[in-house]
Amino acid sequence: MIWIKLIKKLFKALNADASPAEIAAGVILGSVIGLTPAFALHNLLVVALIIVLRVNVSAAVFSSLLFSAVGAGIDPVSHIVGKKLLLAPGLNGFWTSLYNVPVAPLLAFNNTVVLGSLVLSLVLMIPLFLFTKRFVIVYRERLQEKVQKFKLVKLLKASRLYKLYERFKS
Amino acid sequence: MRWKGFITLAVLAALLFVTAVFFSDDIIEQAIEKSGTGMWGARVEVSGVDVVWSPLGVRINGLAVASRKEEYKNALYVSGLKCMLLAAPLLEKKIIIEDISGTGLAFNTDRKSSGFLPSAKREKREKVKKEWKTNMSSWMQDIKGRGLGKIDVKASFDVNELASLKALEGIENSLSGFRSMYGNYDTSDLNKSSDELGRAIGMIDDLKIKDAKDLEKAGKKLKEAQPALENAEKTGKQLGKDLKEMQSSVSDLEKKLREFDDLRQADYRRMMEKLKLPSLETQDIARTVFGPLIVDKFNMIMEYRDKARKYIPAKKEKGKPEVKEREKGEDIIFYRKKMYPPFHLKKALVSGQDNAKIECTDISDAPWITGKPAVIEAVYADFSFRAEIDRTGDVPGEKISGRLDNFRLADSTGVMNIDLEFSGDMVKGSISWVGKGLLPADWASYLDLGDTPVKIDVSVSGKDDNLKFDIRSNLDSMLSAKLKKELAKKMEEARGKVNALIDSNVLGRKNKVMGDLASFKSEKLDRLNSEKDQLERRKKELDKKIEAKKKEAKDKTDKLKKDSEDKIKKGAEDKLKDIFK
Repeated sequence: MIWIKLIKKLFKALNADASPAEIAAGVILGSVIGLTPAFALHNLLVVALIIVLRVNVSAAVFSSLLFSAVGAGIDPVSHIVGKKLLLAPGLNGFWTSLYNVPVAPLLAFNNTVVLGSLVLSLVLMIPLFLFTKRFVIVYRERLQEKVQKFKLVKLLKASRLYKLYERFKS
Repeated sequence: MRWKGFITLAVLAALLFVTAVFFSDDIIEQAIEKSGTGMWGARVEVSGVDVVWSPLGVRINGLAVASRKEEYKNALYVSGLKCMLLAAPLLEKKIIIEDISGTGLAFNTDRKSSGFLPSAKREKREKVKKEWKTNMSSWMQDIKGRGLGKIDVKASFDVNELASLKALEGIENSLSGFRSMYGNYDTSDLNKSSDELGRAIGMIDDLKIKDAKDLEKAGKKLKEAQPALENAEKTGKQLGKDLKEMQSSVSDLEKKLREFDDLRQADYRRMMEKLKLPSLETQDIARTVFGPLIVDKFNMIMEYRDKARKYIPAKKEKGKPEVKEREKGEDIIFYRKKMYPPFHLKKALVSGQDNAKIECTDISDAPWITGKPAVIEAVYADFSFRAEIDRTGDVPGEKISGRLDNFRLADSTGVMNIDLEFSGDMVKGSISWVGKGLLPADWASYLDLGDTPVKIDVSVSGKDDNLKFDIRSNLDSMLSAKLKKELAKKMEEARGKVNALIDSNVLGRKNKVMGDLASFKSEKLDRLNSEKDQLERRKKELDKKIEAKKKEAKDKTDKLKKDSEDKIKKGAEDKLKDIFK
């Protein structure tokens, strides 16, 4: 049921319920959770930001799921990026100072995959934000009506499950 | 900004805080019980835990560690423990205990419920103890039975098992084989050659060289003697080859006969072993009687050592980069001013009545970070114990020393002294035990032991997989003398019978084989050797005579030549004189 609710909310947001910037912000925060290892401590901070900031939660959840599938695939790349950064002679002083801060090791930043994936997701943030925002605008202008006519959407709306859900909700 | 979001976060944080405050006691209690039970191998229970938030610490009430030997006893009980923890390392999931102080320490207290866990090892130990007792009794019965009864040597004797007899049969077969081969050795060529040489020598002797006519005849005769010489050479060579073969075969048999004595001794030993007559040497007795018990106790110490190495590992086992759960990835370790091990108990002191005391310092699962060896000391009315676990180097090492006044060996208690040192897989040290009532009743009465305590001294050395135990006991000489008295006469009789039985089967045949071999040697080898020598002598004589005749003929030829030259010269001179007259 939660999936139906999530998809419905996502479509509702896309169909002018939420501003394109809110959706794009949700997508980029979700992408950080998705791309980095799930139980890394910094994800708690990202979750707190999703709750506190005015971003679209459905878009964030959907994005985190979508990017976690991608994240597992790019782990080898993350490992290389993380290792290069952690072993860069110029950054050694910075990492050592950070390592000596009591709570910092809990963030597991000294793990190559954690740091690499975090940096990759941060680098992706701005292009992803711009792309998502533009996509939402284009969708609303050109694709919205066509998508509504998709058999899958019609099927979803006509399904008994969906009707039951609507009745229960009302 | 969403204010509702802030409220949600605040609610979540409050829930987390409430959980920590209300459930931390139970969580810690369960963690202590679960990990303690797993490490100790019997139940570890706690009556209550209180978390103190400032300064951070934990109060543990009623810590009971069950005995692994007695089901309804606690090995130790501490009524109250106060642990002081460092808060900052907890943020890194590291437990650093600054100090533990405890009171109400007591050993061997009663408990209401069973403290045992299902354990295969305990059953195995019981089995070792039971087997030892059974073996002791059966050994004693056996010795007594043998002392009183008859040692039936004949019943255990099987002539087919005698290796010396089999070897002797082999020698006999070989001897008869080459007797048939060389017994009718064909000497016709030898005789013929010898006769030819004799005739040739006679012929040369008869040869007289007086004038030129004899020279031609002598040349002919010398040529006639040459084939006899050549035949003798050929025959001599063949005979030499055959004799060499014969000599080698005879030497081989003589070697086998020398080895026969060793085989006969082996037959004797095998026979004695079959009769299961015990060795009455003192060191063998101690090893046989106390060995299984001592080895079992030592294995127990080794299990503790292995456990210590599991929980306090050596540096090399921890050096590898850690692999995170989401596979791939490495942890890069940076320099830290203050590096904490995952667990470090800096100091603990628990005391109780009767000067009971347990003191621990620097117990850590990463001792190479603390840089100090872990030390555990325990003192109570009837024991004192000290263990030093050193992981500061690359090779793990432990030193254990102690005295336990009521240490159980089989079903009796005594004073145990331990002094052991482990370094990597090397072990060195000693264990001793003194106590009464170790031997079963039938043994004690058999030895008239009375109040004499049993003392066992063991020194152990070597590698884990090849340990050498030297076990001595004050009962060694006592047992040896008693057993010798009981069995010596019977054993002497048995030895005599075994020797006689073996000798009756092999000695006569061996003497016959030796005689046959000697006669073969004198009949064949020596005779053929002398004939060969004779042939050689004749050959040399002929050779010498031929050479002498050749010289004589040459001298004669030279003389005749000179005479005729002189004669011609004189005739010529006379003719010249006539001309010039």
